[in-house]
Amino acid sequence: MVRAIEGLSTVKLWVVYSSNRLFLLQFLRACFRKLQPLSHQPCDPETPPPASLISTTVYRAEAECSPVAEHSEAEIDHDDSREEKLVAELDALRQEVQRLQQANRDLYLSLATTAEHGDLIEAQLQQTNEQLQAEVEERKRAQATLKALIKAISKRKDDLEIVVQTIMEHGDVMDTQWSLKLTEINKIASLDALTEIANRRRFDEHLEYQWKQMTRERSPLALILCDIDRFKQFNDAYGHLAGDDCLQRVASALNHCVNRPSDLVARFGGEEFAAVLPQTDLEGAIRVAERMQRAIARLQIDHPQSLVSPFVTLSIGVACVMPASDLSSEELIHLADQHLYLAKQQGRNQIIAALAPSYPTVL
Amino acid sequence: MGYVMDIKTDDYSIRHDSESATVFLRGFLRLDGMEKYQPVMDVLLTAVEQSAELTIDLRELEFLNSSGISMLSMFVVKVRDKGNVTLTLKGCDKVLWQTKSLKNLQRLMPSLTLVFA
Repeated sequence: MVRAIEGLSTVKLWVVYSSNRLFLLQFLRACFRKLQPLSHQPCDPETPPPASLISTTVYRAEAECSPVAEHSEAEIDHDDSREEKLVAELDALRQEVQRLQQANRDLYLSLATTAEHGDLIEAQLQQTNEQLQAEVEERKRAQATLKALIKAISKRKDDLEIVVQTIMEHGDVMDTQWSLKLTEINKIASLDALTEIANRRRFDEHLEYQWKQMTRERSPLALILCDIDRFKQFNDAYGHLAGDDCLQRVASALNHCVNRPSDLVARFGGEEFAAVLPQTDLEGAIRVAERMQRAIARLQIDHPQSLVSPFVTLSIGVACVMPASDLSSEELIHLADQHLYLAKQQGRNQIIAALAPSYPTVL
Repeated sequence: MGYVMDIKTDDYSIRHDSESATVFLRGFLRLDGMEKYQPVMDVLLTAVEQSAELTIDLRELEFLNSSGISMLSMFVVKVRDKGNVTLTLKGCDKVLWQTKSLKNLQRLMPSLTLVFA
């Protein structure tokens, strides 16, 4: 309706300024036809429009036109034919307008749809973008956590490597320490506490070992057993401390009378000492026994109670055998002990090395 | 904080002297596995909670087995991670294991002080 009124304003202008009345009439008719679809009212071009729509000026103009219409019938026919053409053109234009309006509506719809679709896509993209941003943030956080974790694990791994190495080296060094301790304990276990030379346990061990060794080598094994003469009287006279001192000095002197690593001087018990001499014949053993006798004499330990000398002396029994698998080391000890007994019997401070007839000797 | 008893057996003794902030380990520590070392670890951890400067005196600890050095390593790592403790280990250069293993503990905690007497 608004468009129709706007159209009327234009019509007024044309009425005021046009001098061609016929053209004005045709124009008005065309206008009426145009108005009809716009106002949605049936409208005959011959019927004057309602007063509300057309101003009086318009009707005055039409009235003034009528003498002209009477003036020429031919012109009127010609005008009718043009009018029909115009009507046809108007119809075509109207259809065109309708088509364009439809197209416009379609385009508008299409535009609206597209815009709506675009909005939707944009919203979706926005949402996806936000999700991705969130995901990126989450991944960054996860990455940072992972990095921290890797750092922690790596540190832990380094620690554990050091701990493992520490434990391993510690194990080795403890082994060494135990081994040193064992050696020390073995040494203590094989030494006589007072005289600090080999004890009876060590003597037995060494004799047994050398017995087997000499059996294999078919070499002679000699044994010296010696006893401090009248030691009980020495103790009684000077006391046990002096007795201990005497034992220590005698032991040390005897120990210095042998040089080879396989030779062993030991405290056999009480005031008795022994020397194991592998690869030594009786002659060699007697030489060692004599050396021992001289070494003790050099000590010049006073012993007034001794009946054989003013100083401490030794009675010595020497024995030597060729060890064999059907003999035992105890028999060598027994033999040396017999010789020692003989030495004591025959007045002490002497060496007895008589051979038992049943034993082969190397003399 | 719970009171942790000092430990004393025929073979070894663990004593925490709060006044000097020192834990003394003495004797032969040969406990069987880390679990058995937990009471020793507890004494050390309690001591380190009580003082920011702690000394562990190992001079008279003649023997320490592998589980023991492992426990000591873990303790050093814990102290290092705690971050605010000054730790000193006193050793004896006549005890062979101390001259070797204590240096390795210093690798775990570079700020660890070793004192040999």
